[in-house]
Amino acid sequence: MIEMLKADHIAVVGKFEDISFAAVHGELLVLLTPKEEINSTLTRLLLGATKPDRGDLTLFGRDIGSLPHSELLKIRQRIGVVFAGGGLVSNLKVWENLTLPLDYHSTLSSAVIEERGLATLQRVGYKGRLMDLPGHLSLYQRRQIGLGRAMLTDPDLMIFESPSQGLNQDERQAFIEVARSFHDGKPGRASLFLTSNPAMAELLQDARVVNLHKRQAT
Amino acid sequence: MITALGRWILRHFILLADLTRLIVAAFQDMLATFRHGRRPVFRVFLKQVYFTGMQAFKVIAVISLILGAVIITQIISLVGTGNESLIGRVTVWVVVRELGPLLTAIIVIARSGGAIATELGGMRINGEIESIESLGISTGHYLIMPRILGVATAVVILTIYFEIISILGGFTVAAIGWHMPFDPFFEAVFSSLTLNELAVSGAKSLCFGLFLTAACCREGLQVGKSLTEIPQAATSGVMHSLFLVFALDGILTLATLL
Repeated sequence: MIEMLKADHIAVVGKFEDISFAAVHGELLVLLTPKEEINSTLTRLLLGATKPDRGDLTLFGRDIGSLPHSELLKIRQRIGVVFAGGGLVSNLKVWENLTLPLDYHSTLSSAVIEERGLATLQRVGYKGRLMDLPGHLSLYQRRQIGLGRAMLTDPDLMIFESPSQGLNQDERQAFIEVARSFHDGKPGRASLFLTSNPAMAELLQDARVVNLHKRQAT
Repeated sequence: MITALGRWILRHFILLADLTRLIVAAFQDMLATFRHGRRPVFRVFLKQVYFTGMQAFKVIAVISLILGAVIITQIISLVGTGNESLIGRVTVWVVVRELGPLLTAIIVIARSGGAIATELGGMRINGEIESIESLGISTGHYLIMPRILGVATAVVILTIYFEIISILGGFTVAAIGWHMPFDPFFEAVFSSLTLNELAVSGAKSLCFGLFLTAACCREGLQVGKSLTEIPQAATSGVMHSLFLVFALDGILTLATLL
């Protein structure tokens, strides 16, 4: 099996000690962490925004910690991240936020982007206004747009940071269903759910669950 | 005393080097726009030109009109009436060479400089800059370059408007107050408006626009994790911009005289 990402005994001082996990192509992985704060740190590590104090972190076979900025940007184009708060840009409207990466990286015409964007909005079930600023949206709507934005780029790896945090039962269910069906949409795509909510494992029954609770000193 | 002075000079030299690097990177990023990100980057550029240029136009128009009237009144009180040729020439020297680019830059610093530093600082604290980078989009290319070039474009255009309105406003006041004839005044104005004068004015406004935005962007991006750093960044950005504009004005004025 080819490993898409591998964390080998990584540690960030003051956050966590000695975490190891790996995900292979096509895998659905739930990483159960002791607290939500760790999910955010892990997301930043996986994106190469910060480096672990100890241990090795490889993504698509490359050591994330040693990559130059330009290479990191290229690797990030293969990753879709849904941040806990949606990760939207506050001075861009909902539609601009949704289509930003596709518009930036692709050479597709505006008409094609519009068509794909509208289809994605329908798929994530967003029913709000397209010309609102993110400040007017609920957490669920922000996360829907964050998910749609990631889906539009058709990434090889999806990272969900605290996907259940702040959502009610129905929203959580609907969100996971879309994430699950998107995962199945491309052979080899891996999805990593970083959560401290054990109920997530029940929602994603065919996922492999790595429980970091027992391994943590914090 | 000497140590403190040396430290101050060194600090500002580093600042200038940092800003020059940022501006050079902006021009390199501009070339990269031909490869990717043309539409979203151009949208940020247009928004910046709109906020800095279009929205500041009214303020610039009013201030330049008043200033033009004040300048011509002072010149007439100094050289007297009946000397339209000299009045026209001095108006061009004062407005086009000096006050046009300088005051436009100061107005833009007051309106947009602090706003840019605050906006970027807020984006940094809210994790939006990290979020943009997580999409594989370079902050320098998407956020900084269009702001630097957008403000520089706006400053150059606003300076042209400032100079035109100022000269027209000055003439209107002189025509009403001292019955100054149109032809000799504008003959003197156009004969003084050499390519050199226009180039100096253009170069000054372009440099001011580039450096003031670079200074404000730099301060905004340096915000850490505390909200109190945002107003500090805005103040610091505005103060650095003002210092740079006056320093560059001095340097460019000296350079043109040599």
